[in-house]
Amino acid sequence: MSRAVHPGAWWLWALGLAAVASRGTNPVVLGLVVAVAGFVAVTCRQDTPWADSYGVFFKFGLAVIGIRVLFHIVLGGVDGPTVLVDLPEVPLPDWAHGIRLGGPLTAEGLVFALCQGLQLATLLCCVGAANALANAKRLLRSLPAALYEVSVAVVVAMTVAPQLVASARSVRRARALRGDVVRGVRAVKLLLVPVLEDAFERSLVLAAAMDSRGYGRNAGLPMRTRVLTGFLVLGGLLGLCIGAYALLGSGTLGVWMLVVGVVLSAAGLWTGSRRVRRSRYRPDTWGLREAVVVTSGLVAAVTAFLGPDLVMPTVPLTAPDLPLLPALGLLCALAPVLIADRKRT
Amino acid sequence: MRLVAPLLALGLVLLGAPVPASAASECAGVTVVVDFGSLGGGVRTGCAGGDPGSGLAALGGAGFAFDLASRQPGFVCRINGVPTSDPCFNAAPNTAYWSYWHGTAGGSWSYSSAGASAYDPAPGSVEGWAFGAGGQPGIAPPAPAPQPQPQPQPQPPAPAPGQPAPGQPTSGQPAAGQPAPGQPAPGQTAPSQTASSQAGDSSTGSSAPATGESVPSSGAAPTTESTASVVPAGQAREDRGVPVGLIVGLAVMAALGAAGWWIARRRAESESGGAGS
Repeated sequence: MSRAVHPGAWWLWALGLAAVASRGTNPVVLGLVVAVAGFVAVTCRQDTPWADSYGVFFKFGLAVIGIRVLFHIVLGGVDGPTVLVDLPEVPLPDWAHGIRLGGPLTAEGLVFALCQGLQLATLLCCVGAANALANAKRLLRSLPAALYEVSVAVVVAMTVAPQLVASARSVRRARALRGDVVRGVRAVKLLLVPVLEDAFERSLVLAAAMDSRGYGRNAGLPMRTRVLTGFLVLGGLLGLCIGAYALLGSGTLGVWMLVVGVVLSAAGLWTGSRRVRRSRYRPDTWGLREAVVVTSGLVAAVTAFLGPDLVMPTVPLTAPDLPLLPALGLLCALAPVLIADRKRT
Repeated sequence: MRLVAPLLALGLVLLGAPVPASAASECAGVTVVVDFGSLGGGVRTGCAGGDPGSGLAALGGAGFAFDLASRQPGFVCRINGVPTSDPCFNAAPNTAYWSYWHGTAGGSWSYSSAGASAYDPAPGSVEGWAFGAGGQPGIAPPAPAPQPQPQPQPQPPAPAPGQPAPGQPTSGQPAAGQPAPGQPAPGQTAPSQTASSQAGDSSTGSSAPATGESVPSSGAAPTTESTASVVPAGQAREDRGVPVGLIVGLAVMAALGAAGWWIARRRAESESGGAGS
């Protein structure tokens, strides 16, 4: 039982929760997502350097809410009839038509901004839970070998958050051992550069190590294959990005770009994986526990999409309700707690 | 969310006494015309008292409930809960959206070049909202004083016959005796009702004062018959008092948070203990 759950399973679970959060701005549902993600992250995490990720992302989320509310107070954008404070308004010239600085602050607008900030913070908490639970280095080994054209970028992107948390921990500890205890804003100023530097160093070292094990190796491949695979993978990724972005705008072009991107990527991964060989050390396997983790996350996501839309009523302000179906789905997402590895290493 | 009640009460205070209902035409603030178009429900008129700070404030102040698209803050996706087909994520398609108009009393409509949150309507002006592909509201901006009677007459709502309430085909025009059918009120909480200075019925020059009307309309039973076909969603969402789900959700959240915090603390303690030894 000492084997950790597959990191991919944790990411899928967290993405399920994030899908619930992206469904609407109902603060009760969002709060429940934060609570569920936090509880599972605290209960199931291993003794890893990045196990504190959830707390870091949680604080980051609080900052995001603060920034969103601040922007609302300054720039407005949403109003209701209930004026709380009538802030002075900065007069703007005609060409800045449509922009407002200051002006009345209304309860409805404030609640709307809070809910929107909360939505973003909830998404961050989901990512934080995934980072705390999943071992990013082990996850990297499960990636298709043909991503080698973008290998360094992928490695840095996937490991930078857990590395940052781990680096912050070690740098702080090193300073504490030297008797240098700083807190607050001064600590940020002192720690920022060493922490960032250390985190990127680690990511680059990791990328180099993976290269030496065959990941991203392109020596010994015919030029034609390399160019073909590179074209397919890069084109596919580009198509996926554009398609995903266009999907938000609900156009038909987005769907086609997405399809083209998937086809290109699949072809690229297939041609690449056939040629690149790499060695595996202690492969991660999928078992029953992984299935439970992934299913619980999927159930939460599916119930949220089956249920009523989770829009926070803006005007008039009414107390938000908790729809039954998404709530039950979110409680299902607690299932990993039951099968977690309780033994602490 | 616990703030809601005090905030609404505050809103009541800030908005001051409701404008007497005698005044759609003599609206002391901003007149708001909402044309439900193909959604059914005809054209309704409301009055936001005082000087609302923005078009959205005027819309809410006139007694209309609205939701905003969550990815497009400031984009009104539903008024009085319709259209229910809009998920309120993104901006609505340009064939079926709430277009926003400015009008001068007794004059004509002009399409707004600014968002409703950025535009500050002057007292005495008229604001229009029309559902559809960007067509202007079905009636001209109500003129100031002269015509208390004729106002309801223009354009009886075309889609109304298809609606389930044949007894009230002209729901756009508040009949003289009706207690505020134009109001989205039935489910609203009391303070905001009062705050929303009476509106729909305002054309009937002799209606009772606003507060007198809003009370009967809050009792859902008598008015449902006339308004059910008009505000299905708005009603559905506001009929319950304090939702049980809210309390249950908060309780679960608190329980999970406390348990998680306790586990984290215990682990931190045992860790520091282990490190110290």
